[in-house]
Amino acid sequence: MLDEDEGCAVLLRVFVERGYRPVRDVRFAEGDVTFDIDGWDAEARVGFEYMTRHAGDHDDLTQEELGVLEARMRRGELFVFIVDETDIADAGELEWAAHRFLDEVQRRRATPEVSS
Amino acid sequence: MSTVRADQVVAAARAQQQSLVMEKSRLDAQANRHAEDLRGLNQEWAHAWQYLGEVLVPTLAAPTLDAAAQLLQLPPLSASSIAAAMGAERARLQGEIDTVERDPLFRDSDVVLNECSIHLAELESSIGALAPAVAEFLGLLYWDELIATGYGTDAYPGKWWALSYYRHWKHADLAGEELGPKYQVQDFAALRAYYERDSEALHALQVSQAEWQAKQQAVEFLQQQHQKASDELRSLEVRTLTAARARAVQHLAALSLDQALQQVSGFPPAVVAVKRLMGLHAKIEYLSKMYAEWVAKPLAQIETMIAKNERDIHKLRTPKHAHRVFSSDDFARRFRDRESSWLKRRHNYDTARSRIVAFDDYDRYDPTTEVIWWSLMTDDCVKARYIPEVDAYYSSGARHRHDDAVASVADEIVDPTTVAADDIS
Repeated sequence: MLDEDEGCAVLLRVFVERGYRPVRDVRFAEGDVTFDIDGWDAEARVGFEYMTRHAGDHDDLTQEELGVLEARMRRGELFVFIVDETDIADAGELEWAAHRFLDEVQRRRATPEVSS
Repeated sequence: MSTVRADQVVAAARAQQQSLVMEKSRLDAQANRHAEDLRGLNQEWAHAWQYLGEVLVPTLAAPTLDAAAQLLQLPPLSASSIAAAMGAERARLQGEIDTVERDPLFRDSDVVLNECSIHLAELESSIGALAPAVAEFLGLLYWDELIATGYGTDAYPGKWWALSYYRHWKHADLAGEELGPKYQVQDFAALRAYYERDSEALHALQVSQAEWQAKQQAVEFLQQQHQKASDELRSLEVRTLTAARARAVQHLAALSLDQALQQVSGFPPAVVAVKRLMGLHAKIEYLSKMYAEWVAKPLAQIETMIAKNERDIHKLRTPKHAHRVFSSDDFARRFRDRESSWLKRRHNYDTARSRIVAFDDYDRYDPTTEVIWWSLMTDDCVKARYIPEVDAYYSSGARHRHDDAVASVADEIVDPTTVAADDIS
């Protein structure tokens, strides 16, 4: 299992490789959803959140807020890759999954990848 | 003050070592013999209690039981109590046997067991053919989780923005790569269908196997239950007799041996049996005390002397001590000849021990006289006065009073040869 710093480093690298410019640890506040997001590209509206018990992320981003985020993702308004620390086997698997997520974002937007 | 040199002490110590070592080996032999004596006596002690039970309750005949119950003041030993207990036990066992015999599983046990064997053999074969295929699926990484989450079905709850969705995707792909060619399928749903078919079939076979095994065990349990109850019914009288004897013995064992002797005083065979127990108890007591005084204590002293001699032989040869001198009195005291006192002690121990061990005329003991077991067993040839009971006996003059009493009784008996001589005159 990767800790939050190691996991976020992998995600940041993949997102940057794919042309996004995520900012680490920023306040996300839109509508009824308010939490500290681990990586957020405000312009592309793409980011990632690494959920750990230790950091209290499950308290920061509640189930209700997650439900609102998911609804907005279904509508294509924003995209946040949700990573539960207990789901990770190793860095390679996380990297592979992050690429597949960004592929899915690209497919859903039906737009070319953001150029780096 | 006259003195002796260190080299003379060394020479004397060397000379003494030999006799000390020999005496130690004799004491070791006595110690081993004592351990054997105690083992034998402890066995005899157990047999003597068993014998007392047999004497008190020789059979289950009503007069015998009533006599024992009255002698011991023990109503549970009476013929009516024993008969009632036996009747209840017989009825219980017969009831158990009848219940088992009414059970169809027991009545047709041979047929049922044969049927179980045939089905179990078939099931084992079918399970053996199917289990490896299911195990192959279960050996795949995350296979359990993929099945449990419903991956490959409409019920799968995975969300494309969560990492777990991609992990399932990856491992479903790996499973397809691993087993897809074998089952000639292209997607996970088809692979899953094969797994579900095989695992459900295996589960059904295992359920059936468990049912037949349970049936087989139920029949075997009934057979064992029937066998046990039948055996117990057959041995009921023997077991009752054993229990009655144990009850009688238990009752007496709670008393002191003097009280037990008093309790059975109306029944001479039991009096002899209790006297045997008293004699064995006395033997164990005497031998243990004799061992402590005549074997263990001198053995410890001799081991100390051997160690001291060894130390001195080594020490007094060193330059630092080689020129030391010692008092002649101390020298003489330390290296005096002990053989005669050792011989006397050994003789006393061996004589007393052999007489005590060999003694078996327990009925000679008469609790109405002052004569103690020691006197009977040794015929007063050795007096171990360090045993308080023995010392008190010989110091009090009890032995002489007893001898005088015996002599006066003998005087009252008319010697037939004397009478004959008088008649002639």
